[in-house]
Amino acid sequence: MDRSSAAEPDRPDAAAPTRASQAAEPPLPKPGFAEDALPWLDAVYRFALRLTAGNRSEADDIVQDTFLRAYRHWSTFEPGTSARAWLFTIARNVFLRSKERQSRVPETLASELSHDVTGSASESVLGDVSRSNPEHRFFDSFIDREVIRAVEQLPDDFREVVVLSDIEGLNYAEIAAVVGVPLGTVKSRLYRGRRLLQRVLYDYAVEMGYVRRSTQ
Amino acid sequence: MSRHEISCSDALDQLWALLDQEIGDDDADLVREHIERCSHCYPQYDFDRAYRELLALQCREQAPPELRRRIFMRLLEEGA
Repeated sequence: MDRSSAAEPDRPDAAAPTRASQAAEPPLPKPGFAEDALPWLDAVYRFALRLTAGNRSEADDIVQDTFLRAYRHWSTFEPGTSARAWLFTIARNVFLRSKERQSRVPETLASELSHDVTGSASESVLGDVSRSNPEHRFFDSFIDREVIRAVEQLPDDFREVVVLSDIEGLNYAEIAAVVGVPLGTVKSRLYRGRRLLQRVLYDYAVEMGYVRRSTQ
Repeated sequence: MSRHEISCSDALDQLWALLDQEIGDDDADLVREHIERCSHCYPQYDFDRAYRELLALQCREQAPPELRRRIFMRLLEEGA
């Protein structure tokens, strides 16, 4: 149970902003931006990578566009609110717009997939895992790349809330603001997204031979 | 069950809220007390907690330095 955001909501240890390499840089003319927005560049980059399912060049463009827009509209940012959540909101809108421009087909596929997986997403995979392998060791099986690949397989609606919560450490209210949905929707998407991700990891572990498939 | 105890169903409903620290102190205590004594709920709690630790620790890429430099230069060009 470790959600360090409780102590200082905009500065969680797990998603600590990076301040490296700023010392030698000339100051930006707009006050506060370098201190409050730029430290979240890594977090926005990771979010963009997950949104684009690992497409680095697309993620680069989203991050650059996000910070440019944020800088231009810095006067609209309310001091004291979460700069990170504000940047994620912009990044998400940049991503959605670029996706609209590219094609409408992936949107359709994603929503169809969402319906397909929704039914099975609410069941816990723990029973299967317990029969296959002592569950407390189960999550030790995976290396970084495998977890990321599993996250990227989630349908868009689930992926974004799981990334914002479990990887970036935003609280429910911040996620609701970023995604633009009610708190209850955040909770239900998180619940299903997590169960689904656990299922994807389990199936992958079976495929790789980390665990044997449970036979009931 | 005393009036302060909660059922497995209630505890499981609030498991994620507990892990996410999105629950009041009193409710958190009730859920925690239940979980610690319940052989049915504790494995699910332990499993979900391990899942959260995996995600929080592993997906920590940093932006490429070149991207960081490029963005900074663009912002400088924007001026005030």
